[in-house]
Amino acid sequence: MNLSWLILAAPLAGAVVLLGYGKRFGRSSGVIACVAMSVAFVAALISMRWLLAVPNGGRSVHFHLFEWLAVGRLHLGVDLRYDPLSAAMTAMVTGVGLLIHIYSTGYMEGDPRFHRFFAYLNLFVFSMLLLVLADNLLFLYAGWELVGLCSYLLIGFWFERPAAATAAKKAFITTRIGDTGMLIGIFVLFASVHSLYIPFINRAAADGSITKTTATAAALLLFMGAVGKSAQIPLYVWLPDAMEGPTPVSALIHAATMVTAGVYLVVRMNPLYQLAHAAAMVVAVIGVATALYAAILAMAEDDIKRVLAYSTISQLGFMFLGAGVGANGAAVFHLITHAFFKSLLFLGAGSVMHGLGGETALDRMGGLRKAMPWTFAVMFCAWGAITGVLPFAGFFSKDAIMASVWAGGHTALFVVGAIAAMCTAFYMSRLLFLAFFGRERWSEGVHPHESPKSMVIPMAILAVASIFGGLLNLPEGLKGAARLSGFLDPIVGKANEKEALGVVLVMWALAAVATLGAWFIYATGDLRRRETVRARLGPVNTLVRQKFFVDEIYATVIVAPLRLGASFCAGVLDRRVIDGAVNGAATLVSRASEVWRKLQTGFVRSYAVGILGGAALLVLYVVVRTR
Amino acid sequence: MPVVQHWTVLLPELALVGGAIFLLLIDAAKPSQRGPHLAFITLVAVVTSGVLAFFQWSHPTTSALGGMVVGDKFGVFARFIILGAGFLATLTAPAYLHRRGLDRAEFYALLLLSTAGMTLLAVSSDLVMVFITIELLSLALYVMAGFERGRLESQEASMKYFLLGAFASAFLLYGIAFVFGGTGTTNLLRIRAETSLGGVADFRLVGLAVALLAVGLGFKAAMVPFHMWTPDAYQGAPTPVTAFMAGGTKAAAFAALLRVLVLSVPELRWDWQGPLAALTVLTVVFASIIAVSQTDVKRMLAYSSISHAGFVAIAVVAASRSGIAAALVYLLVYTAMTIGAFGCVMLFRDGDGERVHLAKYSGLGVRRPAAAALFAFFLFSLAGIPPTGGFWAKWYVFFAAIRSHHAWLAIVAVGASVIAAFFYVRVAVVMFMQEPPEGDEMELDSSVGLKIALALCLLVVVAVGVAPGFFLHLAEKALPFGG
Repeated sequence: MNLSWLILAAPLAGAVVLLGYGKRFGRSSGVIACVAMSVAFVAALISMRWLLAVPNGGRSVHFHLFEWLAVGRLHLGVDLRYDPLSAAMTAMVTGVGLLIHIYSTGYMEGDPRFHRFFAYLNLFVFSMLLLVLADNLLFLYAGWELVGLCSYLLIGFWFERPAAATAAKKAFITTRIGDTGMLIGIFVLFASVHSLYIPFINRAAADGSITKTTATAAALLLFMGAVGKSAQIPLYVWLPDAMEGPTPVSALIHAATMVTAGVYLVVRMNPLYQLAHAAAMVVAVIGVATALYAAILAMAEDDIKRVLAYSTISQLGFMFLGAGVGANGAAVFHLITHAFFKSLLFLGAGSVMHGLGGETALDRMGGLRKAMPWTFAVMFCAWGAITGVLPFAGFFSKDAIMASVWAGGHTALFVVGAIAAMCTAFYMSRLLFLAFFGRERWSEGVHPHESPKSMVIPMAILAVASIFGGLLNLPEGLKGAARLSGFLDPIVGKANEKEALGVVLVMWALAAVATLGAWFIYATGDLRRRETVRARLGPVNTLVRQKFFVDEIYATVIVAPLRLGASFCAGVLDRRVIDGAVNGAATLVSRASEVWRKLQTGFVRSYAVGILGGAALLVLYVVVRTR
Repeated sequence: MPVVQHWTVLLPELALVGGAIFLLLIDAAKPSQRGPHLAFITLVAVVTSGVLAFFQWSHPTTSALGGMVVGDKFGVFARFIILGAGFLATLTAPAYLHRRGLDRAEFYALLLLSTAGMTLLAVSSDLVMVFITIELLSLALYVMAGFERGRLESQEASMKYFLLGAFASAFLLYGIAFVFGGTGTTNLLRIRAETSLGGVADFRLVGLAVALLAVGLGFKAAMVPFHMWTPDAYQGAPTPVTAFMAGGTKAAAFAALLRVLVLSVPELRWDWQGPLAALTVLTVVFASIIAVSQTDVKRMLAYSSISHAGFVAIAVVAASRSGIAAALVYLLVYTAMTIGAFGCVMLFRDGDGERVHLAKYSGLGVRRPAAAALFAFFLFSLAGIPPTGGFWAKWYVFFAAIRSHHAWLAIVAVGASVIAAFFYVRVAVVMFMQEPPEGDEMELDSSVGLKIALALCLLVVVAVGVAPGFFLHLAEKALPFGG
């Protein structure tokens, strides 16, 4: 049975109920939100089962819910597309979403706007599902903007803190820059094929009814949206600041789901990128550059959540690398395993913060493995997954991408990617060692303790997923059946993958070196060796720790001139010219109104004169015209 | 085309009239009885009528009374709007009337008779029928407007409406006489045949007739300059009656206008489109501007309803299939949002009366946020702000105008709706951005019927806002005489 409408309807209903009546439900609004998510998750599983029963090749169904808008020959319906790609995405979004909802009931305990939080969370999940289920670009775009809105609301959830309010604005505005490009891209496609339906556009791209130039322009413009949403160079700056939001939000929106929307978009439109080869190369290059750049920044970051934010940016870079070289299946595979282990890392970080009374600085942690054994255990699994240790999930997915890059003959991309992977191993090990090993460095009066069950159980489930997620797509070389790839290939196209043992060994060796290095520097009790390394690096250390001064450069080169222009428009153009015109018009209207209302005397005789006069004019017109 | 004759076309109206007679009979059996059962009987009659009308949707076009009425999808659609207005007015009425000691059976009987007049007007295919049904709906409305005998404004409303209504009816009748003189018939289809190629119509007489008919129907639809009764009548009449008049009468009048102008004299459209466009511009601009200086909310809503008549008239000027569909969708949304707005006025009590002066609304959003938000929603919809149903209604009307090469009309109307937005949004500003006065608890009316009515209005406005294509699709099927 296909229940894709219910997948959408359940979180929407939850959001509507909680937005309207959340205050009345109080504490139980968390339960309502979780129930809505469970319904969506079960519906996603049932639909997935149904889809698997259909023979491969015919697994793409179109649902017409209702006609939304008909203008002339343009008919736009609310249409859903349920195929392997959207099935995998919905299962992941609802599953991870459900776990994070449960975790949040513990994490947000006692917050005065508890119900509001869950209303936004449900609304977010609905928007994300709309994005991945939409069959035309218009509703995909609607979902795209709605997730942006929810992201804004949730980053600024504690808007009393100025940092949170600023971060929310920064996230919204930065992603909007990309969205503008995406919107133009949608217009370009519409102008070219006169349709917004994704399968139609993809078919047109495949059979060549879109010219290569148009395809390249559209693909690049759509990728602009992806760059903003998925925090790639140069629009990545909002994601680290977005960590001001509650940690479950970071896990759900800024690790597992929303930020992967860009990857989803590129994969969904893959025929377009196949046609526009140059655009695909741009995707790959930006992806790998971001992967390396963000990994370098993560190595020097001291805030546990911001390390994870840079890590997310870097991992998204890997996904774009995969999608850019045509390894779409591998990119989606990595997207899913990343959703498991990165949300787990965030939840673990949240658990650490919970135990330490909101502490986020790695410098004031250390030795937590005894105080928080469960958190340590799950963080260890996540560490294994992201570093790419066999048999954890991340090994298979990252390896699949790198193998495709190598097989495709992109040597330069491979080298940069490998270095980025090495940096990944280093910063992740650094985080783990600084937080859980070494001497206890937390401030006095803090008593670390394990988090409540509602937080530990979702983490444990995600840990299991991080360990065994690789089984989804065991490579054929390891007697696996590459099930996920086989499932997705009809939609995303088959990548040229070749198992290369050499690739695996190289990746492993690099990760091992990096981990040992991190152990040597950070796992010891005091941090003397760290200071030595910092001193040796000198100005390079400063440069990285100041994030290459990108925020400052943006502030002077882009924001300051804009502000200047804006204050000119606001102070001179708006106040003098536009306000003057508006006020003038308004005065004119209200004067006219005062005068004309006097016609309404209240006497029936004058009303009758009005009717008579109107009739006389009409008759006169007829008489004059027919003469 | 030969049309099958069958009396069942009249079943929905028979249900309404039957309900009215039943109410009068039980009132005679037990004089001056009151209570909710009267409203219940009315609702049953309206729903029965709706169900009976619904069955005609899938039937082929039929006519009855020797071609005087026609059962087509257009009629069903228009009837649904009118019956909806009657239904909503009946839901809101009991509490209002009870508080003033007026909840008597004859009120509901009059309401049903007036509704029957409106639905019959919407299915009339003969000018004589048009005249009779207009009189039927108007006579009932005159009495209903003056039902609050103790209040001077109510009497004034009734009297003015009656005198001017009689005056306008004379124009209508005069026009019908000219039509007969020019074509030898009063049947709309035969008029069409006579004015088409090969007909024998005297075009000078028919032209005069169309002008006079426009005066009569324009009066009922409240178009400038035949609108002057509207503010006084709407302000003075009991609010449920006002809501009913604003919704139902307008839908019926425009259904008739569409049948007469677009259907029976399309060959003369080069003659009537110009003057009607002039009236339209006059209506939207004049009403919007005068509404700006109104401080009584009911009066402001009256001017709002006048300006909306102008918007529907744009669709009539378009004189095309998409114009007819746009007019129907507009009337549907307009009825829901106007009755919703008047319902909100009933919701905000001020002691035993209503809160009508704008100044009394200050701080309502602070004390009663949900109710104020609902009112603001209806006002935004009236202003045509997306994503409400009111936006799509305007959108389709403008689209129809542009496609029939009346883009300038759409531009003028957009300009007028900017002015209109001012007075709609002002109410929201007063409600949400001013401090509530001390000691005013701002009680809400707790009547269940009113709440259901408001919920239904909200449902329609939201539904059209979410799925405008669905409703337009229905309206496109609803062409007069099946196309």
